[in-house]
Amino acid sequence: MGITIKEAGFLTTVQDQGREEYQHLGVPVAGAVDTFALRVGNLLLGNNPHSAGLECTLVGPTIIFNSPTVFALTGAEMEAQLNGYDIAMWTTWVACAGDVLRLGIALTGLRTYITVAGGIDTPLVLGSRAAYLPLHLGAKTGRLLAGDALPLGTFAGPQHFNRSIIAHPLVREYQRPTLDGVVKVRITPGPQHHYFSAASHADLTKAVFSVDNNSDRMGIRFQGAKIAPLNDESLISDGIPLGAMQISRDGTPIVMMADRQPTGGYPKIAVVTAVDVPLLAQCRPGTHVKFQWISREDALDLFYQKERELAQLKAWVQGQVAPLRAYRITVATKLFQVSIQEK
Amino acid sequence: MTKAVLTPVDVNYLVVTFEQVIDPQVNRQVRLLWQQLQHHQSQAGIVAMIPTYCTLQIQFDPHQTDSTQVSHLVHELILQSGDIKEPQSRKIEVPVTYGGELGPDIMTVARHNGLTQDQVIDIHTAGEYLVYMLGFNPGFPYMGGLDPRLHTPRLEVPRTRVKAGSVGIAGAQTGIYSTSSPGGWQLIGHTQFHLFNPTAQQPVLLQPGDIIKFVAI
Repeated sequence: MGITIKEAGFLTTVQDQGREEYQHLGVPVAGAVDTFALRVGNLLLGNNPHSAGLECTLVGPTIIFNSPTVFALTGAEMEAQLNGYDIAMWTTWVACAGDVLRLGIALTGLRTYITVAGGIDTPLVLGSRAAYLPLHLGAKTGRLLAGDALPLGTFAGPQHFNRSIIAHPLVREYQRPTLDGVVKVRITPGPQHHYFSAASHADLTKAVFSVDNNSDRMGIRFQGAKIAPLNDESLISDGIPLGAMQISRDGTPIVMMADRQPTGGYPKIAVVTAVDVPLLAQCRPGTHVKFQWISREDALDLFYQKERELAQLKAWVQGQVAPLRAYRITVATKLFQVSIQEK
Repeated sequence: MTKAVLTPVDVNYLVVTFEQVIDPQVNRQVRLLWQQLQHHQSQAGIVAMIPTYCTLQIQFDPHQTDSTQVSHLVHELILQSGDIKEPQSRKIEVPVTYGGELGPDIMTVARHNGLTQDQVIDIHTAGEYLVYMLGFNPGFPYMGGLDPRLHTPRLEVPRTRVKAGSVGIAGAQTGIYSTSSPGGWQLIGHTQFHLFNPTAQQPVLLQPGDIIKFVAI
């Protein structure tokens, strides 16, 4: 039962929305770096929002389905074949026992999520299934390898296959073309915004930064300009919000992501606003980024707007009549799914 | 009178900043507010809180509440805090094997401070150390109160791997490694206590506010 990893890919881990409640004990939240993509995958399937999926980085895995289920691919556009035929992302697919899903290279972006009906059902550790590699927390001590078998949770709801949102405004916006190849990331004032001069605040928006190679699930380093702190004072360690931009001793901006330590002593000039953190999760090394200050009021507007859209999407999925049967049609190298439902 | 600055951050954080000093009284204010908020946590829509030396970071659910409501609650609780008796700090005795293979730097600490190894142990075990906060690694305590006679700079070159349970000194700090990690502390001994065990009922041994006493075994 469940799924078996045939080839591991570059870095494949089990992730859910992470463990928030242990940060005061020094335990990182972990979880999907692109929480939006994982969330939409689970939503399409009708999964519990805390369900775990597979986070596939740069080069994806090949997995075998040992029993019938339904799955979806969200996040970075990755080469994907089911039994050798190309399949589309942002769509729910029926998998039969023995079916092979092969993911290849991410064509754009960095992280693709495989969600499966019922979720990956590995044991909870500190309330979550999220892998945290530095401490080998999570299923199979974190990084998945060829031969690993993962159980799936039981799924009681109607099977939502053949739901496709490739053309949905939420997905269009998520994939929005960058202007001149530069990703625009919106920021709000961080807890130590006042440690920095107005000139430094402006410097952050003038430069075109690029994502440094030394970026990972813990943090994203930016090259392109150094940001000068107002003074040399050491900061007494405090909490680090998700998306917080720290300025290191040499002036390098580093945005703290899912695997960040919960506390730290570098000043935080800004926070990447909540709706833009998933954008950064998809920026591979070399990506050009420009930061733009927005007010907290605007940040809240963006946040609630996105939540409304996701609620509408959820309502649409739930309102759909579950199909009776699905058929596969192959045309040249592509696979299409046709479903029949009661009128 | 408790002075606190409340700073909303982005869409789901409120940072409460007390006087920016490392001081047991200020840390007590942080812990008190943290404990008071724990009583209101679910009704107030609070997702998580991180108490640190002199700041409390509050993460809330924007579907349930907003920074204005959380700020009102914080103000109310700070006003009431004078009437609150903080629960007694736990006193935790940590058994340590000093020196030897697992305390390879004890003579460095001794020589740096003009002491014998026995004097280092006597001074270290005489102290009572407040756990100001946990951070850096799961279960890792930031402890205050190291006797100035034991202050010793960190290693010039950190070790690539320090065994979990190692007891060390770095500058004016003393602490215990909660997990194996690289580290630059002067290692003076080792404890069998597991400060972090992810599958245990209580995954982390220590909590902010604990008072640690080392006992030589």
